[in-house]
Amino acid sequence: MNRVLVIDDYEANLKLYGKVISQIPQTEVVPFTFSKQALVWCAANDPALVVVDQNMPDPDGLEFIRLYRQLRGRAETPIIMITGTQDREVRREALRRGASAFLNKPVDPVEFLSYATNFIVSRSSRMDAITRAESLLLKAQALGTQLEERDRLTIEQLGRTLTARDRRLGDHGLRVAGYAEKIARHAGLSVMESATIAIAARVHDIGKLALPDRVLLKTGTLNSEERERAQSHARAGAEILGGDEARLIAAAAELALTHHEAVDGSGYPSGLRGDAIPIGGRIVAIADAFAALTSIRPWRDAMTVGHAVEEIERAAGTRFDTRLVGAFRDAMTEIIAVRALYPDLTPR
Amino acid sequence: MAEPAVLDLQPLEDVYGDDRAGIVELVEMVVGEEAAALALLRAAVAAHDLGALRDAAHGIRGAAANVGALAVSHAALAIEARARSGEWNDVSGLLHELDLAVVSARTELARYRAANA
Repeated sequence: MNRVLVIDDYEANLKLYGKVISQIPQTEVVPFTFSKQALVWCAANDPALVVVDQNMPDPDGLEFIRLYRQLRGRAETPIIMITGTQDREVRREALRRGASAFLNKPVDPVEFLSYATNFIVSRSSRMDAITRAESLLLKAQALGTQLEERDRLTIEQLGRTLTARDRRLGDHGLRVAGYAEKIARHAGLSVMESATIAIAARVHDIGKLALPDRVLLKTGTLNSEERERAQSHARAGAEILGGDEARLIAAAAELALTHHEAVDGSGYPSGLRGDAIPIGGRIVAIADAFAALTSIRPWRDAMTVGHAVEEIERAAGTRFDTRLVGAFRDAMTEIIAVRALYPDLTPR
Repeated sequence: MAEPAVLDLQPLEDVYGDDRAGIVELVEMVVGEEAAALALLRAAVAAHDLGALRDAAHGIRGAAANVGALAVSHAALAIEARARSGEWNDVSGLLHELDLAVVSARTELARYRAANA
C-alpha cells in the first residue's frame, strides 16, 4: 500500500486532496493539519508521495521541504507543493529545497490526480527495480560464495596431490599456510586477506610437481644444473595455476611465482625488489623459510625455533621485508601452536 | 471585470461523482456557519492584526477556490491584497463584500443540496 502524506492547515483542503488521491489504487492518505506533527511522522515512515501546502504556520511548506530532505533516506521522495502564489522566486526556492512539482490553487483535481499517479507509479517502479537489483545482487553474492568455495576445494585437492607425490611436500604446504596466516594478521591484514593468503599458500610449491624425482627427492646437495631445475618450480607453479581470474586461484598463482623473491632483488625468478613483490609473496617467503629451517632434512637436523628466528631476523632487509619480520616475531606464539599441529617426519 | 460565479461545483463533481452529500459537506467546511477559516478572519479583525488578517484571507482564498466558491475566493483575495499593502483603509467594506459572497454561497449551496436530495 502506497501512503501519501498530505499537509494543509485547512481541513477542507485536506479532505479534497484526500478524496482525489483515494482514487489511486493501492493508496491511502495520511493527513496532517500541523506540519510539525507531519515531520515527526516522517521520521518513522517513508511515504510514497508528499503533498504540502506552501502557506502554513511554522514550519511553512518551504521549510518543511528542507527539513524533510534532511531526514535519512528521504532524498528521493516526490514532493508536490501546492501554492496560492505566482511568485517565481518562491518556486525557485522550493525547487532548491527539493520540491518535485507545483500546483496552483484552485487545484485542478484532474491535474492533481495525474501528477500524483505519475509520481506514485514511477516511484513504485523504481522501488521494484531496486528490490529486483538487491535480489539479483544477493543471488550473485551467493553464487560467488559457491564458486569461491569450489576454488578453495580445488586448491585443497591440489594440496592433496602434493602430499600424494611427496608427504613432506604436502605437510610443508600446510605448515606454511598456517604460519603465513598468522604473520598476515599480525602485519595488519584483514581476516579475509589473511585467509586468502593461507589458502593460496597451501600450494605455493605446486610447481615442484614438475620436478623430476632425481631433483625433488635427492637427499644430497644439488649441483648447479639441479639447483637451476629446482628453482624453476616457481614459474612452473604459476603456469599450473595461471590463466584463471578467480580470486583464490589467481592469489595462489601469484604466491607460487613470488615466494622466492627477496626484497634486495637477489631472489628468483624475476629479481623483484621491495614492494614490487606482492605482500603475499613477501609473507610466504618468511613462512617458507621458517618451515624449512625448523624441519628435519636428510642432510641436517631441524633447527630450533630460536635459531630459525635468529636466521630470519638476520636476513631482514635483504631477503625478507623488515616490517613483516617484525610481524613474524609478534606472531611467534601462534606460529609455534601451528607447528605443533604438523609434526615433522623422520628423514628419508 | 465580470463577477465570478458564486459556486462552480463541476470540478468537485468530477472528483466526487454521485456523492453530492460529500460535496455539500466539503463546501460547508469553507463557507458554512462553523467554517474555521471565517472564524480566523473575524478574530484577526477583532485583534486588529494585519498579519493574521492577511494569512486568514489567504487561507480562505485558496480553500474557497478549491471547493469552487469563486466569489468568496475573489472577495478574500481583495482583503489579502489590502492587508499586504499594510492598510486598514476600507477593510470593513471588503469584509462586508466577503460576508455577502459567503451568504450567496450558502444560498447556492442550499439550492444545490435541495436539488440533489
